[in-house]
Amino acid sequence: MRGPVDGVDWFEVITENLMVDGGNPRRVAREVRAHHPVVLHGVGLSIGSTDPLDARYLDRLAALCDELEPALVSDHLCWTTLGGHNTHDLLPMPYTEAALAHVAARVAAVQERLGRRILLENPSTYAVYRGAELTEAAFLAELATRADCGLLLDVNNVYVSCTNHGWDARAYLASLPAARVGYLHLAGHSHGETLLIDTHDAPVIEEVWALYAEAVRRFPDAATCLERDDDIPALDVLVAELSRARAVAAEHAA
Amino acid sequence: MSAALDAQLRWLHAAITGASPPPEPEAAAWLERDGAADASARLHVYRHAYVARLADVLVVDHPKLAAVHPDLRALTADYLRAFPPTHPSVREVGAHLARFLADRGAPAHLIELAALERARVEAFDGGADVTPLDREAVAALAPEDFPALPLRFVPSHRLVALTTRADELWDAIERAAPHPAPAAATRAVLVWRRAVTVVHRTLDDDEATLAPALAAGTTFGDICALLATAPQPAERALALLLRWLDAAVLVSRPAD
Repeated sequence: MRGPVDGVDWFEVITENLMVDGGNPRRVAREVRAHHPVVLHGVGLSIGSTDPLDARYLDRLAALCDELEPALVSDHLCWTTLGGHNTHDLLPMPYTEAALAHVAARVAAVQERLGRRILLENPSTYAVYRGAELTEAAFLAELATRADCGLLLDVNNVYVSCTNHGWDARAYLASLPAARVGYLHLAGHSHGETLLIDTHDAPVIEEVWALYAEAVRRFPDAATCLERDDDIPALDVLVAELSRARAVAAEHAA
Repeated sequence: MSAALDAQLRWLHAAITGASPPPEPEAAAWLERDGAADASARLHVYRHAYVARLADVLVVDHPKLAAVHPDLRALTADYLRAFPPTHPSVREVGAHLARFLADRGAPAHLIELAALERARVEAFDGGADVTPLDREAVAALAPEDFPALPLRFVPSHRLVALTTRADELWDAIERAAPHPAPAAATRAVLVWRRAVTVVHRTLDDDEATLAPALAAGTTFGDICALLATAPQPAERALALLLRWLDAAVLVSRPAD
């Protein structure tokens, strides 16, 4: 990369890839940051775990914030680590009052440590614990209020989870407080044997584009990030997909 | 913290990472099921993703080993149970692969191929970025300053001690050439990051004896002293210094 990337306003970078001492990941991040705003997007905060918060992880995250001055810092409503074992997967939370109180306290502690608000993303889920006391959307909405955090709404994840569990995707969107939704994710997914799988390796499908139109109507101030983690096409293909997102937003945002 | 919450997370963790999945009645006691999928099918997505994702990491981080060890992907579940990941970055998932292979009695050249590839992973983004010492900086020194010139390998470097020709195997796979027969060979390989590219080189025997000092930090004078028994010590020391400068593998930094 030499200079700004045409057609891209800002970039999201995976936080953990930069928690290293040197090399190409940090060099590229610095070059991107020299020309564009960046958002730090983590997969390892493990905000829902019953393990203690990882102080060393938070120290490195704070140092990255100082270095890159990200516009936003986000992670997922999930847990990855238990008993010190990191599964490297975004595992689902029980949607109970006890879990809500637990996560809200931990979000507050993280925000205190970083000195800034974070945003949490709705993950794609394939299982729901028995005994849920709230819907996923109600959990997120209440969490954002209690912990004073933001929400990263992944429209593809809403579609995947709602399809997998028989939820109403539009009711999901309607449950979220607009003022808390900081930005949106768009991505593709794949079909497993019985469930949709969030793979981020394909173009956005038409049903998700339709849901995205609904999302930008409800959250007109939220920016949009197009995600692609695998089978990454040429940049101009991604920029064309991003242009469609801009067109949808221009048409549907209030 | 809620005991019920902790119990839910612990059950799911065990169900995902255990050697065998729990039976459907047990899974259905913890997870909802519906017409789209029973509890076991829902759990299977997580069980499969856990191993498949990290198998991909092992293969991507050890491409040469994967080329000659077709069972690497199939070994992943056992590896993860032997050495569960503990670091937030997947970069560390393969940190114990060489030891795991050794514990399972794998051939030495495959164990050492894993160790060499692990060193390359660590050199990719490990150690701070530095400006390496170059010929121009050394040429500017007064002759009397040479003995005290601090020398040290760049922070990204790794030293891999081999007892086999695993380095030659790596090269052969890289070049798509016939593989060398497994054989004993004592040698040391230096791995480092040059700009943003990971490189490695098998060291000459006398160079290998100097490597620990250069890893810890030494001086050019001490390098000359360590080469005192070489046939032409001064010429050899100078030749090695120029080799290291051209390889961008040195910094002028004293020992800690």
